[in-house]
Amino acid sequence: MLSEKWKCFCCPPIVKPPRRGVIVPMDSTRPEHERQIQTQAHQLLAQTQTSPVKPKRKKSDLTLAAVVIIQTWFRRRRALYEMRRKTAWTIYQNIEYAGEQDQLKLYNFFLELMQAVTKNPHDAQVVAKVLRRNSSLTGLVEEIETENLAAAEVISVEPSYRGPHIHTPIHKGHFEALIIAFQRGETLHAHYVFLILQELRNILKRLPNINIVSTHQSKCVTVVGDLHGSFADLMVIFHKNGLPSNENPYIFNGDIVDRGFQSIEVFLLISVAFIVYPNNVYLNRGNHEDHVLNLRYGFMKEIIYKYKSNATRLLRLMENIYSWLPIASLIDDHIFVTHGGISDITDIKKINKIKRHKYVSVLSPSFIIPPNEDQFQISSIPNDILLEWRQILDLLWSDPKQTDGCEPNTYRGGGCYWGPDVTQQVLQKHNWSLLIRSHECKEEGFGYSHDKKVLTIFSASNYYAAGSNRGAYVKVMTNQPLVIVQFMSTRTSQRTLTLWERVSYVEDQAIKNLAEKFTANKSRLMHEFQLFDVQNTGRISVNDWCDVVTRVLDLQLPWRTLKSRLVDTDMNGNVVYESTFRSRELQFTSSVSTNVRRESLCQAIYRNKDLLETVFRAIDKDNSGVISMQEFTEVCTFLGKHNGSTLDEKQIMDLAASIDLNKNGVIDFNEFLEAFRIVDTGDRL
Amino acid sequence: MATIDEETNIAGEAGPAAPRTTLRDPVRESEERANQARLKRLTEAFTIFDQEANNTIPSTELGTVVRSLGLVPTEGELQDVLSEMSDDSNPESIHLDRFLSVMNVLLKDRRYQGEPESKILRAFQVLDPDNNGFISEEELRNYLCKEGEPFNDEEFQDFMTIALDDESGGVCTYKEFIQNLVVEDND
Repeated sequence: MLSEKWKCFCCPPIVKPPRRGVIVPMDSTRPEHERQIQTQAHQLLAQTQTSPVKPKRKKSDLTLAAVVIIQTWFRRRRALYEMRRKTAWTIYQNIEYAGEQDQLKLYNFFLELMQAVTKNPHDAQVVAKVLRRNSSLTGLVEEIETENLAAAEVISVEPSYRGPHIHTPIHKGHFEALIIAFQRGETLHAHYVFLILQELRNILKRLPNINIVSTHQSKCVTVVGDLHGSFADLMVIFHKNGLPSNENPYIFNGDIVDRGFQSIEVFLLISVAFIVYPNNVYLNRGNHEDHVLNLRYGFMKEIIYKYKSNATRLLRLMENIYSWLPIASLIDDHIFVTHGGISDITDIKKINKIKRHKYVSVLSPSFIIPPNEDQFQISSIPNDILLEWRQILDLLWSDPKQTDGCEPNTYRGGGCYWGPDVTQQVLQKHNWSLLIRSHECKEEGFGYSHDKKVLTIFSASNYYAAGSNRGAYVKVMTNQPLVIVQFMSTRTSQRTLTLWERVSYVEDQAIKNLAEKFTANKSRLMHEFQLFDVQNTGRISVNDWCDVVTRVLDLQLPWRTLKSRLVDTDMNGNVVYESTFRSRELQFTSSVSTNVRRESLCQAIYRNKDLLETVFRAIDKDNSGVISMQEFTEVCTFLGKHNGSTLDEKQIMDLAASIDLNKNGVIDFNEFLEAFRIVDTGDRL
Repeated sequence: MATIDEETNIAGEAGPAAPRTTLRDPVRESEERANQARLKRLTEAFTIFDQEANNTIPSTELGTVVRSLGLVPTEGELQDVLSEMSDDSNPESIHLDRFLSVMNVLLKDRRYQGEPESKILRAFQVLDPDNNGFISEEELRNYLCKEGEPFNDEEFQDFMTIALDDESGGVCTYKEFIQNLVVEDND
């Protein structure tokens, strides 16, 4: 039934195979002998005209030498590709981190503005609108409200609906029916989605903050890491490891949604497994189980697209469900499983006391940061509340680091970087032997840190691009060593991709991303290039090119290694800098005349597309895709101030008018954003 | 030959101390520029594998780094390079400083340049004594996976993907293949 194929890497070697000595058919493999072979090779294949008498060589020596030459050259070719693959990986990681930092900066900017109340009341209004999206419902009011939200009866199922029908009590048959339907690409009817989520919520509410997991009955439990909406990977895991059941328990360690295109399907499937086997399927909350992140990282978009008029209600219900997800699991009292990690203050007793469901968003819990108070000061939050917040934040957002200590995680904007000493301390305090976490993409799908006391497990293969990384899951078995299983879901081929194929897929996309960044920053880059090109030759040194690009893009990448794939160089090895933008152009779909004045504005909008989209969505309370022109210009100008771009109010209004999207004082921001695209013009310089 | 103080050069821009004389020596200047450029290039390649950002790479990655910088050592020769670069106290990883100093010598002495194309052709001809112009997959498997410095399964699979001739199916017409084998990274 499942069509995905993969290469099985059960219990893979963590290190590459050790170097082999030269295998000589007859003699020993002493090093001096190896070198003798080398020189023999040179001699044998040398065109020796000088020595008239060639010594007789055994045929096997000759063969050996020939074989080594071929092997050596092949390994060199392979290494070039390995290098390219690793370089592409570096690009993805850097861009991802840069994006997260951006998000963080934006968020901090909002928070700072909340405090600077007297500076500009106008700004405060915009910010307030954005943050007011967070809802804080308490107690009974919440129950009634959520009951209304979750009510499935309100939505009727049309006779024309051909998908699966789910009824209570939900059982294994429903689970299997959903698998088949989702494999066919079907969307479950909203009525049944609400039914499932209502059931899910009812069970989740009864759970403690930390799942207590025991392998006593089943002898094993499988831990799955980030899935990020990858239905294909979930299928591979179920195929290799079996469906969840009372004999085959699973722990899903968060980040089920966002980024991938089937987040809701993956979430529903896991939810149904949980409903059917509530004592053997465990859910941990991840940092992406948070509406603040869903705004930007795709889940919200997916829901709006798939569920249209029911989207708003569905999203509000998801917000509530996230808050009821447990935040960690403990296996057999000695293996702690949580999405992000730990920090120097991690204390299970304190965690157990928290009313986890106050934290509708973990990144920005609204009961801490009131959404509609202008007079708010972050320094006014009492210490014990801050510490409690940190307990949860650190569990979901932290990353391990190599050196000792514990510092705030500036990449992510939440949680800590924690060192081996903290691992030691926390494990010892609680009598744990191992920490299993996820949160970070690993090339091999898994990775150990801190002297093997921390295991990262990441289950979304091809996360950055096809071929970029493997996924993995881990089987924990009573009194046995861990078994880590790797996989890579491939849609296209029936066999594993060769190195050449993986590299070209991965690299293509990475290079495209970079090329787009160049085009989006063209004005600034050209300006800087020309500063170095006093004599107007159109060329600058490699050094200068690397300098400029690093500075303007603010990306620390191996530019020298990448250069050959990005730009043209002349005979002297200097960079023809115009080729940085070869065959790519920032274009607009409608009849907009893109004169030079507007060029930098358009580039600025393109660069900030993600941020703009995030803020637009936040303002768009009813998820209609439309906001007022007033709000629209506010946001653009506001963001302009945030990162110093030239988003002048009048220019934007002109632009919007010329794109003819201003219809009666409202603007469809999706259309607006879609209007800016970088296209391949197909011509080379 | 200019002496390079690696310690300062790793940081980037700082070069060797400028000569005190006010006369500019263009030859020496361009040599220094070339040295600096090379250092940056080497450091960059090294850093790509420096996961922990602490100026070390795992020993297992050395082969890839060294080969991507233009050298063509055999596995045995690579072992030699590794022992020159690695530290007894920490054999699992290689530090940037040792890497740079050894690489500089290797590059200057033009070591491990690999056999020229003509000799690679000869090598194939040795394996093709009947002079057919091609070698079968079976024979290649026997040679490459069992003799010399044998390929593992993954390496052999990748080899066959590029070695096999689409048209004649199942054999490697080595004369054309050699072009593909010695592909350069246009740097």
